[in-house]
Amino acid sequence: MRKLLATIPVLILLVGVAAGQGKGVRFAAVNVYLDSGEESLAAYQLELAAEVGDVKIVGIEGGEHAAFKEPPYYDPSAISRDKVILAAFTTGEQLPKGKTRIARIHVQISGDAPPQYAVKLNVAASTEGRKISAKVSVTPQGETQ
Amino acid sequence: MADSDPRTDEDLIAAADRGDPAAFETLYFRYRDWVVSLAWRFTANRDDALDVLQETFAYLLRKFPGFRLTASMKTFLYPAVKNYAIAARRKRRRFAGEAEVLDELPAAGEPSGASREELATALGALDDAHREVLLMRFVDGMSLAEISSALGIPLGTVKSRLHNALSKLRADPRTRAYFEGT
Amino acid sequence: MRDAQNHEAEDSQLLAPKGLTDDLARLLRPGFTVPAEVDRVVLALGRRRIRASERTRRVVRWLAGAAVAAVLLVALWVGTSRARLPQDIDGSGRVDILDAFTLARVLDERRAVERKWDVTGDGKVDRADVDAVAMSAVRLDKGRVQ
Repeated sequence: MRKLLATIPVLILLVGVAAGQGKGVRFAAVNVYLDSGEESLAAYQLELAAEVGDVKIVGIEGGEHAAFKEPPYYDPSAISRDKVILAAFTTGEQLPKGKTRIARIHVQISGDAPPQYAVKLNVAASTEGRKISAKVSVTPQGETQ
Repeated sequence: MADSDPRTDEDLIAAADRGDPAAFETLYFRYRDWVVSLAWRFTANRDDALDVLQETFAYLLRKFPGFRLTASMKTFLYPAVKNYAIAARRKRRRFAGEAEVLDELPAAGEPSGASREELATALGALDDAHREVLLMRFVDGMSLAEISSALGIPLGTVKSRLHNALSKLRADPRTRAYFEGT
Repeated sequence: MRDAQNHEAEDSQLLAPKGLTDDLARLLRPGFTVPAEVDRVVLALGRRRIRASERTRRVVRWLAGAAVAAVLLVALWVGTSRARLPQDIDGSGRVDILDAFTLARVLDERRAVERKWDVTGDGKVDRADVDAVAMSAVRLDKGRVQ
C-alpha cells in the first residue's frame, strides 16, 4: 500500500504530451457569406480561423454568384492548417448585391469539441476599387464521417 | 503569506522591470506555493521541488529587463516548472533508483470522498494527457484558455481531454460517488 | 445560435463536483512548506537581478536615444520619400486584394503600366503579376495583412 500511495505523484508526472487527437474524425463544410447591402460587390479579402476545436482546412470552393464562382485566392499552406486568408475580385459587370455565399471551406474535424470560427473582413470593394462596408458571416454545414 | 498588494501581475512585472525589487518579492510570494506544489507533483521529491522553485524564479528573473507579460503568470510559469521538474527527476533517477524517487510520500490530508488509494488509482487509470489537463483545471485553477496556452494545444483539445477525464472518473466505480446527484 | 447552444451545453460537462476538486487538492498538496532560507536565496537573487536590470535599462535608454538621433539624421540625408513594396499598386501602404484588383483593371482598360509593377520579374506586366500580387495579399506567414 505504501508503494501504491507513493506512486501518486509519480503517476501524475506524466510527461507524455499525447498526440492527442480526439475520437471521431469527421468532415464538414463552412459557408462564408458577405452581405454588401445595396452595393455591388467586386472584391473582398477576409481572414477565417478556427478558434475552438481541432480543425484542418482540406479544401476551398468558390461562391454561388457567377462573379465569385471560381475558388478565391488563398495561400496553399493554409491547407491542413486552421486559418486562411481568402480574397477574390472580379472585373466583370455582373456583380452580386446583398447577402451572397462567396466561398465554401471544407474542414476536417477531430475530437469532441464542436468547432467555432472567427472571421474578419479585411476589405470589400465595389467597382473601381471603391471600398464599401459589408458584413461577413460563416455558417457551418452538417458534418459527415 | 497573504497578498494584500492590489497590483495586477502585469503591474508588478512592469514595476520590477523598472527596477523595483519589492514588486518581484510580491510576485514571488504570490506564486511561490503554487510553483512548489506543482513542482512536487512532478518530482515527488521535496528537495527537487525546492530546487525547481528556485530555478523557476531564476528563469523569470533572467527575462528582465524588457519582460512583458503577455499571458497569465501561471501560463508563463507552468512550462518552466514542468521542464525543470522533469530534468530534476531524470537526474535523480540517474543517481538513484526508482525506489528512492518513490520514497517521497504525499503528506496531504485524507480525502473525504473516495479513499486516498481509490482516488489515486482512479487518477492513475486516466490517460497522461487527460490527467494533466484535469489537474491543471481543478488543482491549479487554470482556465481552459490558460491551459491551452501553457500546453501549446488548441482550446478544443483542452476541452476534449477534460471531458474525457471527467467522463472516465464519472464511470469509475471508485470515483462515481462524487458525481451522484450532479 | 445552434453553435452557441452546443457550446454552453458542453461547458456544463466540463464542471467537476466540489467534493472531487477538494479531495484532489488535498491529495496533491505537498506536506511541507518552503523554508525561509529558500525565500531568502530567491529574494536576494531578485534584488541583485532587478537592480542590475535597472542599470542595464538606463544604458539601453541612452543608447536608444543616440540611435534615434542617428536614424533621423540618415532620414534627413536620404530624403523623405519612402520605398514602397512593388505589390502596393494603389499606394495605400499595404498589400491587399485591392492592389491586385487595381492592376487587373489597369490591364483590362489597357491603361499605362509602371515598370515596377512587374512583380514576377519576367519583363512584362500582365495577369501573372496580378496573380502574384493577390498571392502576396493572402500569404499567411507575412504578418498582418492590413
